[in-house]
Amino acid sequence: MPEDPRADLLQGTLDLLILKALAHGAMHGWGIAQRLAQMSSEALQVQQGSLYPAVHRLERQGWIRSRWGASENNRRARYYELTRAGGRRLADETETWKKFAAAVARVLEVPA
Amino acid sequence: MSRRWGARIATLGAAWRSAGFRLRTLFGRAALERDDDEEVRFHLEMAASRHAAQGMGAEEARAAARREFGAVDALREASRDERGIPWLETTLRDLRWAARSLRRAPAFTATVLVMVALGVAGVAAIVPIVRSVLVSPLPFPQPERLVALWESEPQRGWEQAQASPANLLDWREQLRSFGGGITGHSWPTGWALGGGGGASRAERVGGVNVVAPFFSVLGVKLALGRDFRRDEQWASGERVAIISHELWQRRFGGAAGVIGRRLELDGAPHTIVGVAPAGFGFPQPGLDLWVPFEWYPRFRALPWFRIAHYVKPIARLAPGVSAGAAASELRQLAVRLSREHAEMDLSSGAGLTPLREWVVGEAKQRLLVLLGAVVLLLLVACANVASLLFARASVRTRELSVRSALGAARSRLVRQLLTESLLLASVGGALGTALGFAGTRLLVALAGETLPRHAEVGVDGGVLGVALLVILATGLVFGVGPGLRAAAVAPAAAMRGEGRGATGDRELLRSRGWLMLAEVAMATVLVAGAGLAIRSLTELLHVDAGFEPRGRVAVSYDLPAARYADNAAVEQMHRRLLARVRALPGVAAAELVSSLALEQSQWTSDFIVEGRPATAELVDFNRRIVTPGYFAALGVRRLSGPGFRDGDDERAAPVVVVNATLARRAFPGVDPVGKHIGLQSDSYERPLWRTIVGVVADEKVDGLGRPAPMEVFLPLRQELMGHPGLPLRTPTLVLRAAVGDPSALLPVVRRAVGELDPDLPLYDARTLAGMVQEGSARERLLMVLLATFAVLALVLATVGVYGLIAFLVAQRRREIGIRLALGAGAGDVVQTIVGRAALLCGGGLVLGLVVALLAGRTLRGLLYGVEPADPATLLAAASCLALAAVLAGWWPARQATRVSPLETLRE
Repeated sequence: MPEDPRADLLQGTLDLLILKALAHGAMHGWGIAQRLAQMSSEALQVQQGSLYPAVHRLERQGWIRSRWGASENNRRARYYELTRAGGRRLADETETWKKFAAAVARVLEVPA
Repeated sequence: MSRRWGARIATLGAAWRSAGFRLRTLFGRAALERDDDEEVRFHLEMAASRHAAQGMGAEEARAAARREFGAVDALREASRDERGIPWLETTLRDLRWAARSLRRAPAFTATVLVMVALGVAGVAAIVPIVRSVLVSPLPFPQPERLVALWESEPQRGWEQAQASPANLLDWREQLRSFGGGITGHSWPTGWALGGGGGASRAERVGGVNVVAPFFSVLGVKLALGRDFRRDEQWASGERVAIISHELWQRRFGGAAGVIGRRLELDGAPHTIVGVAPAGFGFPQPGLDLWVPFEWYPRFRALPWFRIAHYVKPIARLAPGVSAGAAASELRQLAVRLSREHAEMDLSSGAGLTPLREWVVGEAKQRLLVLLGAVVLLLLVACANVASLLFARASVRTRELSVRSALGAARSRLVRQLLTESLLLASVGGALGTALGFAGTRLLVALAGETLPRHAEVGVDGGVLGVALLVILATGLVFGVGPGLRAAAVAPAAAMRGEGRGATGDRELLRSRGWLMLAEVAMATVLVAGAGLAIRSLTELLHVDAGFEPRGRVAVSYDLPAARYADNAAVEQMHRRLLARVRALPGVAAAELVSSLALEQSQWTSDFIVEGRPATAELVDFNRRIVTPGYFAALGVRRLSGPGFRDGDDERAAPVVVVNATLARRAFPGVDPVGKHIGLQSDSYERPLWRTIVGVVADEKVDGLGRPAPMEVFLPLRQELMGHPGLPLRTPTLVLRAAVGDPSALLPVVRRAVGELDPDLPLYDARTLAGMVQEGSARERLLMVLLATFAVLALVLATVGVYGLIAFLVAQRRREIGIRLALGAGAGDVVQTIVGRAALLCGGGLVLGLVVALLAGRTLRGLLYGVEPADPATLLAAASCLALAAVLAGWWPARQATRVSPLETLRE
């Protein structure tokens, strides 16, 4: 029940970031968290646990799928990868986001 | 364009995938949850090992990893919601949780289930009856267009009475509002059905006389043959009849060739022209014959044809005509007719009532009272269950706070508690519904003929729907309050053990206190109602029926016209039969009467007193024909005059015996013996004066609760042989047994009568004691039901009071201990603890009495010999409740005084 519009925005953003993190190949939850921190130079602080509901939501929506595999340290881990639909979705969303960000930026640069 | 389509297809595909995924997760849920746990564990291990690599201690690293991750439980919940079909899955989980937690508290669960079952059972038993009798349309096409017509004659105190044939025929010819036709029927009567149908023997069958046509007005299509033609209501050479589906099967084996066959009714051949559809039973179930009234066109000129009211008219409104418009047209015609026939000194009015209301009649009030009673019972049960749930919720405050602290949303907790309530309501409700439907059948069987449309009562989908609604409403009513309250406890306070502290408890006690007050009030209303019903029945059982029922038995017989053609033959057979029966051993007395007391006579008429003009008071008496010894045989007291003699025959002067009511009304302050009266029915041309030779005590005729009508008794022999009276072919033989059970005489009498005429149908054997009992059958049933509901309510209320006070004592043990230690007396302690509860009980009692006073009005007309506001009964009901409350509170209050100060202080 995401009634808070801010939560909605954040959720959408988080989804996009996760898709982006998976654009380079399959990755487990821990890896996604690491990559997010790395990609944003720790600017985007996500509580690590909240990653999982988002990942599970994306899986339900069919943008990503999961399978079990062995991790770097040879432990069983759940890997997520983009589906074809997820790839398209990432492209669309990236486009939308860029337009949106540019628009917001223009608005902010106009002297009041 | 194509792009948009592509996007749509993609969305559709995503939706499909998503739905499939959700369904898979629903069924593979356990495995998924294990996977989630492992995923989280993996994450935490990786994070911890990273912290460790940066130089943290193992323990410290794990703690940091956990901190960074956040609340595991809440996230797991969020994941579930993202992935599952949340409401369904959550509901299933809640159900499992509820079932587990209920199993852990078997005593609580059993108590609640019993209460819910009892509450629902009452409603489930009464609702199908109310629905079938009061709500369901009559089983005819466009039943709302059918109305019953009636006449009223205020001067005789007749309201909504039957119509006279002449009026009915005039209505039919002159009214325009009833395009669907006007018909009518007689009281149910009986015919001796001769052995016409092959080998079958003579039997007596029930039926009605009707105005032709009959079935087409009701809109009923016959199974076979045709309805009566309009001209068939006039006597001609050929008589016709329509038989029931059941009689068709029984007597004719369902043969198609039955139309046109002959049927011998009371010795007269009738041609079968139709077969009614299966299950058709109007005006009452179980009828086998519909036969047109036998009228001659010349009757229309005769006064009696307009005065004798014995047809119940039924009409179908013309399309587009409102009932109001039809009623006003009917009223105007009635006024005109009574002016045109002013010589009869009638002031007739007329009106109409929807046929369904007419058929249901006074049973409506009875049923609504019962419905009110069961709803009250259900509410008492609900209040009790809610109170128990409150108590349970308070005990579980800690458990709930822990869950809340672990991240369970408040709405989730409410939802879980609600699920528990609904589960209890469903299981208890299912039990109750099953119990109730069994109760419906039992009630219909008990009520029998006293319940109109009883053959139509059944349980169908609609009724089950109502039961389901009642159950859900019950669950919500008693589940919401406790659920909301439990979820409102602040977790931190509850964890410190303060959930059981002062504020929460005060709120809780207030809720439970109000519930108890309501419960006591409702129970008071029910007990008061039952008390009134009991008083009424007691009064009724003490009514003097006017005759001695014990040791008497009665049986009717029927002399067919074929073998007993004229009055002389009938009279001779009556005499032979009496002589034969009187000679039997064990028979102390045997007499004949045209109809017994308590069996409403259909023949009423007016009379005149010699030397006085006809006055308005001397109307509407009941006429019975008896053999001279009737009064002695039945123990009817003789108040004045010598009474009939054996010599009162056709050669002697005409004589009558009158009852006390007639003597009082027609001859106030004077002994009427020796005076002359004339019956209007045989005095049209010139008065036929009859000498009053005796006054006897009143016998109840129209029911035990109704005042006796004026009655005139005529001697059988004189009536049959001396005057143009109708032959009495269907008398009732009354027997007084010398000793023992009078029913034992019946087989002997049957055999003896069979020796005189083997084909004589004897029917309706009944003991007079049984008749008197049947006379109070309605009141008895009402009393039994109300008393049952009242006892249940009383028990529930007692449990409620006990529960609350026991709870109070347990909660305040510590305080009591301190008070006792500080030197408080036992009395003070009890007063502190029980004082408020007693106040609430008292409030409930007062409220209940007020409601009972108001609701008592609904009982008016159902009660005999007791006012709805009878102070003694109300006081008794209140005392009953007060006593129950005191008993319920006594034990826990005593426990309070036994609290050991030392022990509680040490706790």
